[in-house]
Amino acid sequence: MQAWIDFSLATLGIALALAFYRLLKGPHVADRIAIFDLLTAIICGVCSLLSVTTQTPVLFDIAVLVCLVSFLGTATFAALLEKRELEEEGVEKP
Amino acid sequence: MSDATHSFGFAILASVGSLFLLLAALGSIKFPDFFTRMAAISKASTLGTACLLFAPVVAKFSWYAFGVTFFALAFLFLSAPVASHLLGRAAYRQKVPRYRNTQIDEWNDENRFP
Repeated sequence: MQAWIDFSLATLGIALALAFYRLLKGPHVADRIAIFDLLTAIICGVCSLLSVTTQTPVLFDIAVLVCLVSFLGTATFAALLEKRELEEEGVEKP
Repeated sequence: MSDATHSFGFAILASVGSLFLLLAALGSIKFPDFFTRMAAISKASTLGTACLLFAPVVAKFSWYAFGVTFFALAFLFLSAPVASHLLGRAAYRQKVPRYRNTQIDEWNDENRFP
């Protein structure tokens, strides 16, 4: 069972590295917001796995709460992005 | 049930969930466009989070954890499409550049919102 937890944590680490690559490179703000959604999912998974390894049930509640709160973060960033002015000049506003 | 089946279910759920999150991250690297990336991320990360949240419940069962996880996942499955739809609409209004082979644009300038 510990071997599977190690395998899953390693996989999540690789996923975290790839997501950070896109987070640093992402050409637009919208890419970074989508990656933020993925980052909260990865953090939720890591907390959920660590709660089994370290026998602390509080970490599982933290995972559930992160899973619930990530929607608020993404929705708020999307609302901010929608209210932002268009960047390029010459593009008429809708 | 014995302990072996519990750990077997935990192993299946944990590895499948983490592999789905890896697929989401890989899609965010490889896809050429914001909208395709967002499709990959929102769908795969929802399923991966669901699997990873159910894994400890399967490993050490209790009705409290099962109920909490069930309602959290119900909210997640309701809210993740809403969040990605909001983000996609905001990105479309911001005129985020699209892939050059995009075929269909049903919300173009002719029938734009009033």
